[in-house]
Amino acid sequence: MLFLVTLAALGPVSARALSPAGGAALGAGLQAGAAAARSSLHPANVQTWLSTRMLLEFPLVRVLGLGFSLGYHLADESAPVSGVLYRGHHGLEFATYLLLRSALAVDRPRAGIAAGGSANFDVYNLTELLFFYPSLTAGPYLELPIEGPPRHSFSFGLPCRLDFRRDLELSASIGLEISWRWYPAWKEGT
Amino acid sequence: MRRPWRIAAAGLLAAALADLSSCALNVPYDKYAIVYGIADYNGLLSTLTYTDDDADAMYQLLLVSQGFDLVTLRTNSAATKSQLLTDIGNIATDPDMDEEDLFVFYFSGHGGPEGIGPEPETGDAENEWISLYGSTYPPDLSTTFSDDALVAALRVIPCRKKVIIIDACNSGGFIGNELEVDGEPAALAEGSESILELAADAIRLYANFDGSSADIPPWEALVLSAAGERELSLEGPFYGHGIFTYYLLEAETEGDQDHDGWVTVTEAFAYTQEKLYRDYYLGRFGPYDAYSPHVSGGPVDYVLFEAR
Repeated sequence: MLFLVTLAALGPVSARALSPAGGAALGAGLQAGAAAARSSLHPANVQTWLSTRMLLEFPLVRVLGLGFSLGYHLADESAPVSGVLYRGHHGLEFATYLLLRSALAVDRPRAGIAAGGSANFDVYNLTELLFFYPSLTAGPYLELPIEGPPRHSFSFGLPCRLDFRRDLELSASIGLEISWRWYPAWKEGT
Repeated sequence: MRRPWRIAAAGLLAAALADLSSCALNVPYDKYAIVYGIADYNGLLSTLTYTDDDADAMYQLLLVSQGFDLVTLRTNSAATKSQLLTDIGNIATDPDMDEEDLFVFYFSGHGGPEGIGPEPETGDAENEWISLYGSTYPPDLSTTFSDDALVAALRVIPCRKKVIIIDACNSGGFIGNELEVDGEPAALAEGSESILELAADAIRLYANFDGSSADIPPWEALVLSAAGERELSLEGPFYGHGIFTYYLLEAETEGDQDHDGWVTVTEAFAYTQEKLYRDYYLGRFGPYDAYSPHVSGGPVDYVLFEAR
């Protein structure tokens, strides 16, 4: 954690010194997808989910960035199969992640991979039962810069997520993400 | 030229999905229940008024309206601990029962905590109990069922879907959530913990989880309780039932919150909780007596009723 905090603090400095990647980025994202859940007692089933998040990203070196996000997600309950369904839940997620990516330029898209972990605090739908679980998320994305100051970009990603639920044998999901980023420190030609 | 083809394909896909959906909503399993209600404790405990009526009404709902395959009803002097053990054994050895079936145990009567005075937190090792006919106070093991003893007794029933519904005082103590903290306090009068305290507790539960449990964990059975661990459960002439049971009976027709045709345990909980809250809020029973249902955690939920 100390390492991450240090990296975060040095991020903007590193950005100026080492990276032409446009500096720090603020943004927001929307994800949707499907998750598979399987308990030890009942067959697997599918739940749809949706999440939104605010993000803050810093370039570390030319091709590496560090991001933090605060998100809200909700998963619908599954359809009942033989009288059993997986409960819907919703909650907050606090995530940090690394971005391995090509250099950012106005005139071409850049590809990257985002990978990181999150701490999730969820409540089962219709209840006040709060529970915690960590997750790992990784996935490729493609960022498309938009010309004209202030500099923006849209990106499309395929996040794959694995939840470490202690009451499920499997909780994994895949989805689509669209994100918007704003680079307040963008400099033309960098 | 391509557009009509796409519309036709979309229509076929929608029809196929609708067909799949209806297949998924079938109930290809048997449903069993044991229903106990005790109002007359033969003078050994205070006499209740409507708890045997609760059991009669639940029996009618499950057998007649819900089409359960086997419902065993015992009230008052027939509702002894030895009889309950016999009834559990009979269902456990039913040749038609298998792992996919649903079992419901419903109880309405006296309940209480093991100790006297303030209790430890929910999920503790301290037992709550339900009083069968012949029970005395303080409870003795020959006539009462503790939460741990009840789950042990029900373990012989081979089906995976088990639901325990208890309309009794302190019945929330039967719930053994090992990974969830309940924002609904064990006693409404005590108030809730702060969100930060709840979050810290949730992390602690996650870190310390070892698969063991106290009380009745969700992987053994989902528990729907009338009251919190440190609350009373009330009955009244306005309802002609235990108040929780009155609304639970309504949940068959009113509780399908997502309108999918089924009332799950969680939906039944949410319906009864909302109704009890409104009654408390409207002053139908006083704030001193306010109480709230509780439900087990866990990632799965079971269909309790077909919505009517």
